[in-house]
Amino acid sequence: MQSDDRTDTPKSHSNGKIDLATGMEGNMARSLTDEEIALAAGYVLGDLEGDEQTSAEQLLDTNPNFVHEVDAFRVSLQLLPHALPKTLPPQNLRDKVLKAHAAEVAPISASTGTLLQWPKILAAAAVLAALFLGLDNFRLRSQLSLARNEEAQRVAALMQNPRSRLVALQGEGDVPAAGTLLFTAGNWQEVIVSLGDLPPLPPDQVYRMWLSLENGEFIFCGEFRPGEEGSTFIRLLPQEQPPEGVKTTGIFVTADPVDSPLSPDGPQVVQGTI
Amino acid sequence: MRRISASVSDIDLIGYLRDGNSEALGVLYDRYSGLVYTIALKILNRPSEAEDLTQEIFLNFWKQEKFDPRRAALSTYLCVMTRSRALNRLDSYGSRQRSLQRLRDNTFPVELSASTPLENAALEEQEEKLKVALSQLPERQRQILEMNYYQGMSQSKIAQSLSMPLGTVKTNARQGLIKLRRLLQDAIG
Repeated sequence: MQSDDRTDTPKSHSNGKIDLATGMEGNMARSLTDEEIALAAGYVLGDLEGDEQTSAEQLLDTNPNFVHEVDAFRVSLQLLPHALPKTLPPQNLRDKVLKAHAAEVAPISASTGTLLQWPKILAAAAVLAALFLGLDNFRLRSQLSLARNEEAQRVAALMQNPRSRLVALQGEGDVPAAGTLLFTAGNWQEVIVSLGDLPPLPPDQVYRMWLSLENGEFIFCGEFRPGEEGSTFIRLLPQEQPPEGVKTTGIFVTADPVDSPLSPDGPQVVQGTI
Repeated sequence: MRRISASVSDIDLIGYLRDGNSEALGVLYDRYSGLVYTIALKILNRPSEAEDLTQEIFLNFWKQEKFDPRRAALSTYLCVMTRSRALNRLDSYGSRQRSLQRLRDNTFPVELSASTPLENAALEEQEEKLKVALSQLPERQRQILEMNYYQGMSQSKIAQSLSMPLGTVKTNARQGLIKLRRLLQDAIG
């Protein structure tokens, strides 16, 4: 369970060094060097390349102080808009929002009687999903057990959603890769990907995941590099959604140079049908 | 239906909203519409677009079941969502390729951390602290952070725009963020 406050997190000294003690059992927490603090800032700003990115990812996995610093930088940026001089929206916008909300709520309120059943329906859906998905889901569940608790909770929340779907991913041609993608139908803001047996990549390449649409366009979902054993288990947060009314048709992964334009032109190594 | 006090906590407010209490959306709107509209207008620079996005943000929020107010601050979540969607709208004005490039350049991840003391403070207090902190940043550092945040510009594009070496932009961005974080030290933990 994650703490709701920050009282158990390390505090920075005025010289920028951070206390060792975090109270976390068996952790590898230690003071951050100035270089590591700059690395954390670069990670949040998204300006890391090559070795720096690798170092940051290793520190995220091993040093709670580094994780804390990344969080603090992220919050500092996210709070920037509070410094803007406030401009209020026109008065009539409030009425428009509330009327639109009322129109959307009405159909749901009419079926309030069924809402009480949702916990049971959700539980049943989760059990059925586990039964139906069986082997396809094995890889996801087994890796889930190894994942950090927070990630596990996110995956669990997704899996408990009756609209969640699993898509089998298969390697193209001679690529032996296989895995699973978990997402919620109609909501492409968060997807969980588990893949194994991916071919190793040279240092200057990454894997990129794409969603293909029925109108022939593509949406970039995110990029990743597999671990040494050729597997990955990640959560991607695509920043673009399919246009309303446009169906998704498939998912695929390409291997691309790190600095190449974001276009699905690289060789396809994995694909799945939605 | 239960009447909702204007001083109700964000957590309770979201609970009411998810229970179908439409008055909760009005309280939520009164509390945060200024913040959402201000960000939308800053990025989109067109009042009609900013109004449209503000409506979209609030109408989508009540359907949003993923957000957990016990784990992240609602004001920060709305800031992040408004910025992200505003930048996506800017992209839609350009070509598909520019859109894809922008997504890549749009470097701040939409991730939320456990809420900090500052995020839990009154909006007026947050505004005051951020204004004071930003006023203490060197002008160049503040400018680069704002170009990155509000225009979604990559550091290479900022370098081009300001006719500065990329390395100088990177150094200024990092130093600016490090200084901002230190100025907010106690407030963000």
